[in-house]
Amino acid sequence: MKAVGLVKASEGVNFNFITPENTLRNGEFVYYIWDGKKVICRVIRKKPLRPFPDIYLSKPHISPERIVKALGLDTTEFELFEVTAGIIGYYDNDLGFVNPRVTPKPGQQVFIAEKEVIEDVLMKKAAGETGSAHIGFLLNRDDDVPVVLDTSLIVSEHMCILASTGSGKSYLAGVLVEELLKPYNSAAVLILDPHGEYHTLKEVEGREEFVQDGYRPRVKILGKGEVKIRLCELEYDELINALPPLSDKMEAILNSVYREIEGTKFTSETLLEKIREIADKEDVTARALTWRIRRYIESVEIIDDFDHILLKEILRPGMVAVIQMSEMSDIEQQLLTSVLLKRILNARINSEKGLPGEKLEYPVFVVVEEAHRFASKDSKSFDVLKTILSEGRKFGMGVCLISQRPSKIDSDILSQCMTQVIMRIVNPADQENIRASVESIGKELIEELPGLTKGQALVAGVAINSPVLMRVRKRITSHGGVSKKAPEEWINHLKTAEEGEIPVMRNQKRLFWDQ
Amino acid sequence: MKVKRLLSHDEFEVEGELKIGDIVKTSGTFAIVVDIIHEEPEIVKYLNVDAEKVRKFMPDLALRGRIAKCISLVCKRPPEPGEDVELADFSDLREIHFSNGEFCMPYLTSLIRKCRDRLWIVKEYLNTLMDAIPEEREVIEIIRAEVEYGMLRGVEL
Amino acid sequence: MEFHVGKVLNSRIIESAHLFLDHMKREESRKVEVQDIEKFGLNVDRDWEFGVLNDVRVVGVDGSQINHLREFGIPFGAVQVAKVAVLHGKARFNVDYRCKWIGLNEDASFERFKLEIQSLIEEIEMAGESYLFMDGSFVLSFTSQFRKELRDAYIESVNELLQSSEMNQTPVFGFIERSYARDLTSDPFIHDALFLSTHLRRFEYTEPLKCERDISGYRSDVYFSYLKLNAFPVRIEFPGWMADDHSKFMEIAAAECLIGSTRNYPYILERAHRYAVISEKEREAIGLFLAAKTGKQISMKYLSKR
Repeated sequence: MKAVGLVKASEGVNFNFITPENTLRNGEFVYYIWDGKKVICRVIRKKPLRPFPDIYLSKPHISPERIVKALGLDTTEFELFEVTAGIIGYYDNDLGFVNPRVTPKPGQQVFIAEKEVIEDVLMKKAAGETGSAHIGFLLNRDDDVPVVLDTSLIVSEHMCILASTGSGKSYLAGVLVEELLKPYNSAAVLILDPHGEYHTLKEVEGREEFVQDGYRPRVKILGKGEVKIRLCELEYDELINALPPLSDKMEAILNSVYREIEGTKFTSETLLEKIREIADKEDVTARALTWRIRRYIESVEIIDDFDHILLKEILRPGMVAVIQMSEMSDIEQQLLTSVLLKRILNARINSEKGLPGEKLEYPVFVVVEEAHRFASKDSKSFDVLKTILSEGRKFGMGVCLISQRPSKIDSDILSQCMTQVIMRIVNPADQENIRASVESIGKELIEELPGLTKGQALVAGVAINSPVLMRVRKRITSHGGVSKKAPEEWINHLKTAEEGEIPVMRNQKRLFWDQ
Repeated sequence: MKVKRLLSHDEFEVEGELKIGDIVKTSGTFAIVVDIIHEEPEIVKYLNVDAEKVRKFMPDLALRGRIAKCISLVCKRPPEPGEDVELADFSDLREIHFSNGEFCMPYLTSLIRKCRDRLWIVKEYLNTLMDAIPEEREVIEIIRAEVEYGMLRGVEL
Repeated sequence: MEFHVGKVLNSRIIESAHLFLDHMKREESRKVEVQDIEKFGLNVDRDWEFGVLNDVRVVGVDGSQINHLREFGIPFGAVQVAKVAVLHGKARFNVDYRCKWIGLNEDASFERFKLEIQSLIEEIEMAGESYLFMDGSFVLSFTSQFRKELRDAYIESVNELLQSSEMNQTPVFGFIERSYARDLTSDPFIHDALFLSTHLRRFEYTEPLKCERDISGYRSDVYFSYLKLNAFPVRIEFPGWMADDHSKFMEIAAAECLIGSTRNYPYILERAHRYAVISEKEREAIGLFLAAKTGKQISMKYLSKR
């Protein structure tokens, strides 16, 4: 236990201490002893105790230390730092962090929180423990202090990963899924993957790290044609949802038709026939409704007259299913998401409440990429997501929302993600939205966000005892979401493509002509 | 020129024809002249005579009592009253400013403090030092800039 | 009632003052010879003195003494003489000091006088055209009460100076601002300056007059003139040879007086005095220094006065 500095003065929940330690970084954890307990504090700011006079910095090739030395002064003062630390509290197993409300005395020793202290106090789980998700290491430490989330809390209370494009959010999601597939979690995970970034998780199946005592996780990659929803399995609401807004008259017709054929194994053709039966052939409303059904139901590939995917085929402990939606239209993506999520929620409710119907007897975790597309108010999947986020915890259905545009996500939904992993965010509107929806993160930490680089993240929320800055750990599987390198592709194309003249219009002989 | 009396551990008076900013040395001290004072106002008895005539016809009167107040820059041994005083030259200045090959002027902060209302003396001194020690010119320039800024701060603009 | 000085009166002094006044008036009215004393005027106008003195080198000598330092346990005294030379109009000057430590058996006043004279002689012998000034008289009447050896030593000293002056043709003045000498009147209570105070007008001086007084049978070749400047006539003494070019010397002496701070006393002597003086502070510093360095007991009386 080596003291790193001595307390200078306190103000409110913060205090300042003086240290010669140049390597102490913002976000570092330190503590002082109060009543025999270690009161954990976070380094908020570090600034030189005595800045050099500006004029000493006027000649780039002359170091200010040289001036100080020329004046016969010791440079020690200029080498000291004044550090502001925010008191988090001492950790009580029952109460969590308790702020002692007693600021440290001037002159009191301040210690760097040792790896073990951080692991004990900041993390709810130890790396590798059952129900742990080791997603990275503390950013402000040279030694590897693991950042571990409590899996049960991210499943029951949801999480979000928010970051600008290119800051590594799908990489982090990959790390998270790897953790969930480890023997100590054996989770049932579904990934909704609009960009086809998660297929590399397939490598999990071949990696020793995931194998233990006969446990071997499975990874299912499902392409466009492999996920079908049978039309007759759609509930009335889902059916309405699949169609563009209907007039009251249309809805009345559709409703009576649906009621008539509900519970039968009907097809789209059945539906259309019934409409023709009910309505006059020349009825404008019926014709419009028919057109809509042809356009939105028949042409949507994921809605099938005969095939239907069973939830247990895609959601099973020790398995991840990646639904690649990259070739689907927006409507299809939203529809699929909406239907699937609702179906899963119902299956969980059926299971928990012992109701009839499709059942999932175990909690599930759904990763929703590009969540702003599914969780914005005008999205077809908005309602179901809202329900899941607010009620899912009761039924063991966890969601991880991933988005680069958090401001487009409905704030009610975002605020239900009780664990937040926030990476670099540049857009001020998004920063503001995060500030508004994530109460647990202090102002000082929000200010760190623009300074984060790729692979660095702020982790906060229920799955960890205190917000920390983290560098994401290395993935075991390779990363699927690599940006395309245009020049290389162009060059490769030229190498492989047939050489030939660029066709020129035959009759265009002159570049310029009189007209 | 001789040391007339000691004013404090690092201030003393020299009787002789010196001007402000001159660097002088005694056997154990290097000092800068920061003020010229007349020991007693003898000249007031002759105020009916114009200054030029005093200078020409009563030359000792013009000089008599001309005391240079000096502040020690480097003091190995405090001066004794009556001790000889000489002007220091560039080689003296070089010698006192290097210790272990490092340029150092540890007296400067206290000199600035003592000359707070006459920082131009320090500024002029630094100019001299730049000529004496050209290789440290840039370091001295920065220090001089700081002194100049101090002069500016002393003035209500 | 007949009054004459020296008669014992049966009254208080204050009651007899009017008798003395009458006596003085009577004596004054008796100064018949004064008309016989020839006088000359100086044509003093604005800055006249600077014109006269331009390029003239004058030297002044004055001394001071510490009788002894008994309270510091040092049974010695010292004399200090300052010699100032100024080349007027050329902004050049020089101050030179002589000092001498003396035992208690030596006469500090004489030692000081002798050192002053020696400094002047030294100056004369160093040549160069200069006018020398000494504060005091060459006529040593005051020594008449001294024992013979001391008196002779004084006289010898002065004679040496006068001779040196003549031999080197270097003028030397003995200057007495307040003279009570009685060379011109027989009345023992009327001194010359008083005698001449109305006869001489401003910027007038008398012809060179030979000093006929003798001291114990010895008579030096000393002349004198009275000069009236700002107030009472001042007495200027000089060796006999200077009487030949008297007016030139009187101009120099008068001009030197006019640049002095009182316009009645030579500047060069004012300065010499300024340099020569040993202040009480200086004396104390010397005493304390010597006492400290020699481990002498400082007198309790002295300490109690501090």
